[in-house]
Formats: sequence, structure tokens, C-alpha cells
Amino acid sequence: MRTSFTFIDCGESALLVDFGPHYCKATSLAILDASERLAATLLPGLGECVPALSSLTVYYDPLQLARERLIEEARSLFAPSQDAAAHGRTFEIPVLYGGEAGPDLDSVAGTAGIAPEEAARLHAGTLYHVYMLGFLPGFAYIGSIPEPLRLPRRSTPRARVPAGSVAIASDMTAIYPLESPGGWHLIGWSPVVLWDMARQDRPLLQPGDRVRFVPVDAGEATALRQRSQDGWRPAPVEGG
Amino acid sequence: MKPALRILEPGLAASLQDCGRPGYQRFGVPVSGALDSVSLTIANILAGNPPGTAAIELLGAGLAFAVEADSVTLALAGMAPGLILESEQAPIRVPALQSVNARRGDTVRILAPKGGSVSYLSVEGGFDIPPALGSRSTYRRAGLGGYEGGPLHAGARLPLCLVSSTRAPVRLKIEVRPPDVLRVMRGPNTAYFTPPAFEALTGSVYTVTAASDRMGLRLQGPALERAMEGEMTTQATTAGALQVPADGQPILLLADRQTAGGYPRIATVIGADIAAAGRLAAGMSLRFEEVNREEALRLLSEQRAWLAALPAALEPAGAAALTPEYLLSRNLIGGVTAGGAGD
Repeated sequence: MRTSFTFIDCGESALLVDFGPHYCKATSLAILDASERLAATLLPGLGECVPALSSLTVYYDPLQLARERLIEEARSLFAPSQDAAAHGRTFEIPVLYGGEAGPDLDSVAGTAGIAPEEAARLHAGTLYHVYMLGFLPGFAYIGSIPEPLRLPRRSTPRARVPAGSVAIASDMTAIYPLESPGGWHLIGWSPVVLWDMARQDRPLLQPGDRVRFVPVDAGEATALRQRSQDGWRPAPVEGG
Repeated sequence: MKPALRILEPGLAASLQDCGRPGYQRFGVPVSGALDSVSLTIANILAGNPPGTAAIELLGAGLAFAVEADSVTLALAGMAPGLILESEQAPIRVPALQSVNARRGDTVRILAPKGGSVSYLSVEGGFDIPPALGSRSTYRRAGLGGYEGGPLHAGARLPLCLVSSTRAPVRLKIEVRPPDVLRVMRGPNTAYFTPPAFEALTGSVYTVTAASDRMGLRLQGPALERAMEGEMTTQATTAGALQVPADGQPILLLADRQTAGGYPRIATVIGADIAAAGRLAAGMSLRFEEVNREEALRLLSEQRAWLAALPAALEPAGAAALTPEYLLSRNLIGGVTAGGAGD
């Protein structure tokens, strides 16, 4: 698996290390591990290392860092002998499922042929892996969700998805960190502030972290929202 | 009161931009920064600043501001041809690529560009605005950086770092134009398209549509046909990438592009041409020309050498004078001419 990657130029100043169209947690961990170790080499001319589901994009200054040198370095970091170290943290994220907080829970459950409570139980019953962040600052692609919940995106995206919405699409789940347009199915809402960019230089959930969703009721969600606004963040239950 | 520029008319989507916010893409934060980094650098060289100092980025015409500082040195670069400085004496027209000193009570109006849209107004010493995640660039979607996280509005006061600045005016005899041709390298997802699609991209004329913004230029031309259907696995994006959604019309990704996307990218505009791509405005046409990596590196190296030599090419600017163009220019920027009987 890890040996089958290719190097592809994205212009002269970025290199894509591509593991193909399929992704899994093991490959993702190898990518995240290689990404951190490549960044730590501090090679002159090396820019950002940006992991995605099954690829790593490396930005560099080609007038300072030869492509061949970069490829050689990347190749050694992805060598099959290397075991990816799991250094992520585990977070428990409270979620208020269904109702106004998750207007699509009923339709998602209906498509799956199960009760809404069962759909929520399935979503909350899994320890997930944070594959990558993208789309919006702090928007984590978290997977993989149980098979019965997997649906294509909504045919008509919503113009306004509220911040904190817990959503699913395909085999991924996410929490919208900001209000934005969005095409995912909204099944709940989390009172956690994922990233206060005015106060912190990094988001709560980062690639490689593990996430478990914990159902809360409306009263608990409101109380946690208040605490979040006062600066509360869930502490990692493991790692950190 | 702190020295400042007070915005009288914000024009179209004027915002503070510097050389961007690299380092946070893995957290989903776009790089942002100047659409035309070459013109930003030129404005800063004229104003006596380091090349990446934050400046006002203007898209099109209409910016006007009042000087609320003892004095300030201003420099304009990009597509706008110049500015009008209104002071106690008669108003003067100052061409772009030339710095000028303004005093308390002066009003400055930027003239409308004739082609392209983007321009930069730099002030010596820069604006006294705190950086957000290491940059003063405005990323509007997340309310990050710049002036309160968004575009400039009438009444905004942009604080200046210098209380006074009377640097001798300088100018550069260079020309910066919007491009007719952008050079591209294949990749990263060219294999998702039919061979004729790449030929169509490099053999046709594309037009910039009005739906373009700081995220990307939406182009219209021959549709680029896919060889493989279906969604691509989400990958990180790069500036200059030509991503192609289902309708086959390419989008050239610019400064505020999302950090990751699932549309295949048929080609990538080379680094030396990305700043030029940022100058294109709705309605303009362009072609794409394929180059190899060696050529892209040569052009990048050439561009850097050219920029590095500019400070040495600065020459003293004579006093700007009132010209007949002034009245004409007022009509160009003012919009409405009052009471023209025969109009």
C-alpha cells in the first residue's frame, strides 16, 4: 500500500505525493507522520506540507530546493520500513442530535431505514480519525462513518449552514466551524468552539486526532455553549 | 489622535493585503495575500518599504481617502493609471509608479484603470494593524486579518505606523500590464481529461467572467472534456491551478482559494505568471501556452532578478503638476457629470 505512490508536479513550486483514489486510516497515518517529519527537516526552501485524504502536497521554492532532493527526502519518509507513529489526541465532542439542531437527521435515518435515535447512536458510537482539514479554516474531515449513514451530498446545497452544525456526507463527518454555504446533511449541533482564531493559532481538532461524539440534551448543549463562549475547550481524554 | 488614512469612498472591494498567510493551509486557512504580488512589491519599493508590507488592494476604481497625519508618503502601482491629490493648492495628478507626499487635510482619489483591475496603494512605514495568524491579509470569509476582518468601508480609519513621512518622491520607469497569455505546466490531474481537452485549453481563447473574485477567475471558453467521470479524492490546491468542475469551464485558483478541493486540475499556471493572472478583470480574454518545468524555473528566476533590481532603478521624481487631464479624470471617477445640457 505505502509503496504505491507517485510524485506529480503542481506547477514548478509544489509537489503532490499521491497514494491514489482510495484512502484509509493506515495510509492517512503514514501521510501525516511523513508530513510532520518532512516539515521537521527544515530543508532550505521547503514550504508547507499539506496532507489530504490520500495525498500530501509539499510547497517549496524550486530555486532553493531541487525537486530531486525533495523527492529523495520524501521517498525515504514513506519507506515501507517506517511505522507511522500515532501521536494524535482523543477528544470527546458533545453533540445535540436532531430537531432544529440537526434538521436532516430524520431524512438520513429514513434513507437508512432506521429510527433517528438509531442513526444518532450509530454516529456517536464510533471512534473516528481526523484525516485532514480543508474547505474552511478548522473544518475537519473526520471518518469513517458507519455504512448505513453514508449518503451522497444534498442535491441542493444550503446557502447558510450555522456554525457548529454536525454534518455527514459520503463516509465523512464534520463540524462547520463558521457559518457557510454547505451541501452536507445536518444531523446535529455541537456547542464546542472549534477555533477562535483571534485567541489561538491552531484549531482544536488537527489531522491525526481521534474524535468520539457524545450525545447531550438541549440543556447541556446550552450550558456548554455558554462555557465555550467563556473560553472553555474540551481537554483531550487521551494524548495531548 | 493616531495618524491615519480615513476612507471617504471605499470603491469596489478594497482590502488590506500583504504577501499572504502561508503556514496554516493544513488547518484549512487559505494563503490569501495580494492577487498581484508583483505590483504589491513595486508599490512597496516606491514607498520605501520591505516588499511584503501590507497595502490597500483595490479592485477597480473609486477609492478616496483623507489624510489625517502630519504627512504621509504614498505610492500606487498596478492597473490604476494614477491618483488625484487635492490639497489647499490646485489639485495635482500623480501617475502610478511614482511616490508622492500628502499632508493633513489632503484628499486622495484613485483613478479608474483602463484595463485590468487590481492596484496597490502603499504608505511609507505601513499600516499599524495587528497581524492575524502571522499576516495582515484580509480573508473575508473567516473575518480574518486586515481592517476588522473585512473590506474597507466609508469612515474606516486605517492607522499609520509613521506620524510623518516626507520621503523624497521617486519613480520607476517600467510597465506592468495585464497578460494576453498565461503559461501553464501540465498537471496535477491532466489524466482526468481527454487529450483534446488539453489541446482545447492551450489552443483557444478564454474570457474572464463577472463571477470571478479573489478565490478564482471563472473562465468561459471551450468546455474541457473529462476522460473519467466521478469525484476525485480531495487534494490540497495550489495558486494558479486550473480546476474544472462538471460544466467543463475552468476556474483559475487565486489567493483566497480553498485549501483543498475535489475538482481535477487540468494544468497549473506557472509561478512567474500568477501575479499577472491576478490583474485580469471580467471581460478580458486570454490564452494558455504550455511550457515545461525548466522554462517555468527560468522565468521564475528571471522575474525575481527583475524585482530584486528595481530598488536600484528608482529615480527622483519631479514635482507633479496640475494637468488638463485632471478635469477629465474627475469625470472618470466621479461617475455623474452635473447639468450637461447637451449630453
